[in-house]
Amino acid sequence: MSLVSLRSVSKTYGSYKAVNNVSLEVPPGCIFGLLGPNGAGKTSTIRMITGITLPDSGEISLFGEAQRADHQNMIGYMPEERGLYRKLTVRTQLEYLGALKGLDKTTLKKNIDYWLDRFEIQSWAKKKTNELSKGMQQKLQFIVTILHDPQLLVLDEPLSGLDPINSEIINNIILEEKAKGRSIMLSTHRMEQVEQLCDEIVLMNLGKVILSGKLRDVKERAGKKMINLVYSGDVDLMTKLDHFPIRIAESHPNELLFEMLPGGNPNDILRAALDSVNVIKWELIEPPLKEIFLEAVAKIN
Amino acid sequence: MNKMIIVLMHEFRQKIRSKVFIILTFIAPLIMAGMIAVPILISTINEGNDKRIVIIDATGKLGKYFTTDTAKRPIFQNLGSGNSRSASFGPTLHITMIEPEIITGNTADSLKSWLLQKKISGYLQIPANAITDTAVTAILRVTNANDLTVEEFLSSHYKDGLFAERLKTGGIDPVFVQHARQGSEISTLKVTEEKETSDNGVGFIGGYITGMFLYISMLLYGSLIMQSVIEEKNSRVIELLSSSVKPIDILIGKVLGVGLAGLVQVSVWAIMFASVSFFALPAILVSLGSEAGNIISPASFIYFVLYFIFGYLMYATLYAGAGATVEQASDAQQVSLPITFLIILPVLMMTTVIQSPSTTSSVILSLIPFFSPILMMGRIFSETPPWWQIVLSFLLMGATFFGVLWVSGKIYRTGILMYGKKYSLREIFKWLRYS
Repeated sequence: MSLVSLRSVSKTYGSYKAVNNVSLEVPPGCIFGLLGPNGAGKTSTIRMITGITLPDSGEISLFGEAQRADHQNMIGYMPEERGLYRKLTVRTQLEYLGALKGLDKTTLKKNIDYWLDRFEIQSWAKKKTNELSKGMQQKLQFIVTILHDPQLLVLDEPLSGLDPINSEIINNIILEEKAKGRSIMLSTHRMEQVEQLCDEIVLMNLGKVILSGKLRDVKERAGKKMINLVYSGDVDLMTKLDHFPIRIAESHPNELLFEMLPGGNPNDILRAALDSVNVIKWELIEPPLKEIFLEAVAKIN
Repeated sequence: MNKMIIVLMHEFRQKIRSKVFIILTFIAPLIMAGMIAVPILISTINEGNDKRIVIIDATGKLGKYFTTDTAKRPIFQNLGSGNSRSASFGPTLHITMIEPEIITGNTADSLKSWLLQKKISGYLQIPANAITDTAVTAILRVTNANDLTVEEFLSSHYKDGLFAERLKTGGIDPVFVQHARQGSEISTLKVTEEKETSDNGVGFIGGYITGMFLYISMLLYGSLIMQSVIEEKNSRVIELLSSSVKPIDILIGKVLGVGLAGLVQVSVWAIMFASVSFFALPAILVSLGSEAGNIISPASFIYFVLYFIFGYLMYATLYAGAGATVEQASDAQQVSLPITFLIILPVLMMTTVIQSPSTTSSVILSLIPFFSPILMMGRIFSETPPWWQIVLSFLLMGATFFGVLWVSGKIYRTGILMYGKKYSLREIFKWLRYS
């Protein structure tokens, strides 16, 4: 059973097709990455899953049933644009937003105390939200998301703007929730986060899904060999290598990332490099998601 | 628990706990009382400011008519001139009579210098042939020609005296004339199904005060709702909220929650008003020549509460929809202007409608749902309209409320998620068609 299942879902705003015929499945116990550049339709998709907007066409099932209003109580949502009541105290804020997720008074109090302790902001419970530091507001925002112990966490750009300490805490909680069999759907345009965390991914661009599947499968399917070369020496290495069948992906001072094109032999290139510079590092690596993504976008255009 | 109720209770609690709300609840009546008390207080202060008037009566007959001691005043005092009220507030007059014989050039000069030195406020010279010659006038010399109370007092007493003395020269007894003119007033009775009462403008005042009160409260609570909508949108918490509650439930919960707080506030004011009026109002009304029961009858109070509730529901819902179309509190005024205009219009028509409550135009205007609270309330005070018109006004307001709720709900649902630019009316109308 999938926790989230979208079948041919579309959403149009005026004449702008924000989500175009999107289908995806989020299995239980999975960290699911919804990827794509700004304007790809990630937030529009998420808003339909969280019941904020309705699709124009297509079907959404949640927890194995057709989408209903009370499914909202089983989802914890952290919007990309973070939002809290500035003038409410931390506790009142949590009490109100928790009650709106259907928590009864006893559970609400227990959960609030648990999470305030966990994030070590118990002593700030009576402070107004706008008196908190930015880092503490981030903690509060995350508590609001997870307070009602949701089956599904939907996090829109969860780590953007977080300080390293908070992002470490939140990363750990995400992994804990996954271990409990909960699923986490996160949207981001920062690919390196995805490679660390996600089990499954969907790549979106201009409202359409252009790649999807398990992260490992996606990478294997891409089937590209990339070489990372770090060297020292005051030589323009790129010109020395330009007769080989390679494509330079990234070029930094004393570092090159390039893709082997068909017919090329890595050994020939290494030899040529050794002739002109001092090679410090020579690494055959999997293609980064960013590369796969950019290529997939280019293919469609 | 129904999530709409959770929103309602939250909004209600937040409102009644806010300092502004508490202060307003107790300060506003004081300000109102102050607005009534200050003019009275000022005129009381003026009373201590004595005015000295010197009268030089060359006829030797008119002086006695000017005494400020009512008991010593000859008959004809104030008869028919109708300005006995001019003496009720204002300065105390001290009148000094000077025999005309001692008026020489020097005395006239010294009177003038006294006047300029502010030793006296003015002097009135009555010529010797004032009673016989209708062409001559008495002359009052003052430094401040704008003090109408002095001029009014002197002029009315001069006229009365002149009238009485001229009757005497014609051989007519002034007492007989006074008798002949007594009881010549018309007293107005307001007829209702139950009783006849003397109204004396109390209905007008009552209608006007309630109208103003409804106007202010609808404006106040409407903009409170609007601010609260904008604040949730501006702080982006609205997206979080709408991932838990349907937007229409947020809207209704908000309108009802703030409305409930408003009702509490209005009740506090009503209790304060009732307790004040229990002691003070009867006195004021008696001075106007009316009965206290007239203005604070239970029926008119119930109507007032009902019109407040219906008016509030319509306007608050409109304001909420308007609030959802903007991001910044500073843009609120622009979008709320048309709604505010709708509230102000009936205030402008109020006077006419209260004065002629049963004309076709008054009936039609007071049945327009957005005008009903203020105009129908005004009509109820001045001349109770037929029951079916009152019932019809509630039916129309109820229907309008649901219409407004539908439109505002659609605008709200879309508007709360729209950021980054100002939306034209045409774009906002398009939102109505979104699924």
